[in-house]
Amino acid sequence: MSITTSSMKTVRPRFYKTTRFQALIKDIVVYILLIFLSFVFIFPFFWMIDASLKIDKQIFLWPPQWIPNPIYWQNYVIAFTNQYLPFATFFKNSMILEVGIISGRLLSCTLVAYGFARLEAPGKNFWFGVLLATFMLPGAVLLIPKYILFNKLGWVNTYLPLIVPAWFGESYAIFLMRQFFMTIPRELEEAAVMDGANTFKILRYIIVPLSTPVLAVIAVLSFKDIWNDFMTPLLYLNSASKYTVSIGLAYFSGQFTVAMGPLMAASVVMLLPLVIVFFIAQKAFVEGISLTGLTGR
Amino acid sequence: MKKPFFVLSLLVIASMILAACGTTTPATPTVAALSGVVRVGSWDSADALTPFNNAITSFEAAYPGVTVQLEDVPSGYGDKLLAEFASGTAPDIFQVGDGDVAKFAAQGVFEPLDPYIAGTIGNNPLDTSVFIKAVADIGKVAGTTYLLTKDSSPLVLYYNKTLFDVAGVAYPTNSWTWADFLSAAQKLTITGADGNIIQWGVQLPDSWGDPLWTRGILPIIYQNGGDIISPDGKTASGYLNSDATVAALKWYTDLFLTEKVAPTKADVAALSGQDLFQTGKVAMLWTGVWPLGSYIKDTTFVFGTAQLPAGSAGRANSICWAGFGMYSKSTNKTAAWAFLRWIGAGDGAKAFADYALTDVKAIADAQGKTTDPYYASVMSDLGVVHPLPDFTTMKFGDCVNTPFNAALDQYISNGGDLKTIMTGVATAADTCLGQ
Repeated sequence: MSITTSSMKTVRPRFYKTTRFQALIKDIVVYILLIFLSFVFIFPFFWMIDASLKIDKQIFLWPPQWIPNPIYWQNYVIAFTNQYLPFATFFKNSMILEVGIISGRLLSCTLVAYGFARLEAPGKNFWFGVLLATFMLPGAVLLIPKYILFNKLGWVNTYLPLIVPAWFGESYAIFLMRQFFMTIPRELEEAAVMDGANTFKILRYIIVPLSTPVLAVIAVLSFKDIWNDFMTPLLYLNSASKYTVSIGLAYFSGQFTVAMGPLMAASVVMLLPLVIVFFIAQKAFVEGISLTGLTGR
Repeated sequence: MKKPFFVLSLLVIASMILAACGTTTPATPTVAALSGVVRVGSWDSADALTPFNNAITSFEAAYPGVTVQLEDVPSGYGDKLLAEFASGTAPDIFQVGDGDVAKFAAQGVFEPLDPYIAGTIGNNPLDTSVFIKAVADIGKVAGTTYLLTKDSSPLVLYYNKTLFDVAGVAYPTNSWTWADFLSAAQKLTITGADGNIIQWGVQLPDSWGDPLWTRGILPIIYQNGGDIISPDGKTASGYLNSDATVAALKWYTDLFLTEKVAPTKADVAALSGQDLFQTGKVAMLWTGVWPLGSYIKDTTFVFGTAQLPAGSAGRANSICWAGFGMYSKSTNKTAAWAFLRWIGAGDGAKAFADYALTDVKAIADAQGKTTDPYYASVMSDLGVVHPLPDFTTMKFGDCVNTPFNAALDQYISNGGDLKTIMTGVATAADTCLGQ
């Protein structure tokens, strides 16, 4: 009897030693962690939407009132009917910048990155080092010199200082693209050369079609950066009729006070384009991030 | 600095404390000669831009040759101005807060206005007797006029009439002294059964929950005959640590420490999100004019305003102030002056007066502000405003204000000998100012 018992024990490990149980524990831990992190990331969005539906007094109540009561839609009305806040115009202006900057950045950076990835030139690595050095420079250092330069060109209060530089490359995007292009097998290009393709044709028919993930990453990140950029448009644009969405939102935050409810209401609506762009490009975006090594994979 | 519970309407009032002036149309001979574009920079936003637009419309009708271009910068105004100064392209007329005046004056970005006021440039003189002198004088640095007033606010003593009635205390009058003030505050401080204070006598000079706000404490120092920096901005010793200043600070801090008639920073933080005065948790409030509009709108709220109490040296007040200056590199100075004069003392000033306190006497009279039950005491206290210490040197903030505030905060938490503490601050400030 005792022999049987002991042999049964060795045959059937205790429940906590089973692989099934261990897998379950692992899943539980992972899910708890994921739920916790999701909460951390979702909370600001929840707070924004929550605050957009409250009167100002309720927003900072302590302990917080999680569900707005009553639901106060008026913040949306206040935000979008103010004569000084033409959000349609701000939106249009932001889109002009998005199109102008992203198209320029994709075009110029593809050309430059391909050059760094494949073509040979004396001192190529040195120049690539110089390029990388430019994105180590803090933007604040360049602010005033750039402003003086663009002012001398007579470009202040136009979109040119914002759009034109994008047509001359941008170090971060060039770096990302170069790393991606280097992973594309050379054999594809050699085959194209055999068929008589020149460098531009290789770019057009081989490289670009294979690079949609990295192009999507750059497009989406650029879209977000341009949408959120406050300082550059503020600096170069003088007329309110040329202001962008991010500056428009600042109208709710005065020198001494913040109209928190309307600010959050406008923020909710102005966040939508970002969310839409992200969902459209999500597949290519996530793929691109893993391929270009932005994550630890 | 930002306080969330102010509503949009308050934003308008607070950020637009007002502009000055004139009631007469400028001399006609200059009108035909003026032309071109005048650029105007402002940090105001949204509804606070209404007076700008009204003033611009009336100005352009009077000066058909001139186009005024408003450049409103809702946030980051200071950064943008600095970039524009660096490239020589700042707006012809720009709004300036009282904290930036000394720095900008030292950088030479202001055009001195005295020749324009006298009419020797632009043939468009301005009679400065139309202004409340103490307020208009804020626009001067070391005797030179650089700015005309946009709007301003002295410190105001608000009192809750209901709570005064319940406690059987007589309302504050404009002849109140420190002793009257303290005695009323004591009677109006109520401790609950559990030993916690449930109603305080007064919420002290309050800038968004900071009871150690220097601008709010300055009136008390002045009322006792003290100061915190020499008029030339070169020394703090003998001012910041003078017996008069130390005694004033002792009296002030004792309101928290020994009298316990005022909520401390921690009390205010614990009750954040509500207006302690409007909700009846304090019986008196010592702050600027900015909440006045919303208190008046609350028809269930019975309150009054009074001048600040007088100290041993009599009546005194300080001011929060914004003005308009002319850019020294402006390329259209006579037209810029015409517009500056318009919004500082002309019909344009009326547009601003609708939103905040004007320093043009005739406009304030016409608005009824000087006789209004709420505004009359505010307007009369504008007459006893002292010049701002911030204007004496651009180092005031770093060398005097910041260490002064820190030392006061330390004293409130840890105690010590106030005279010794202030002498330490003053000695360090002298060294800092001399560098």
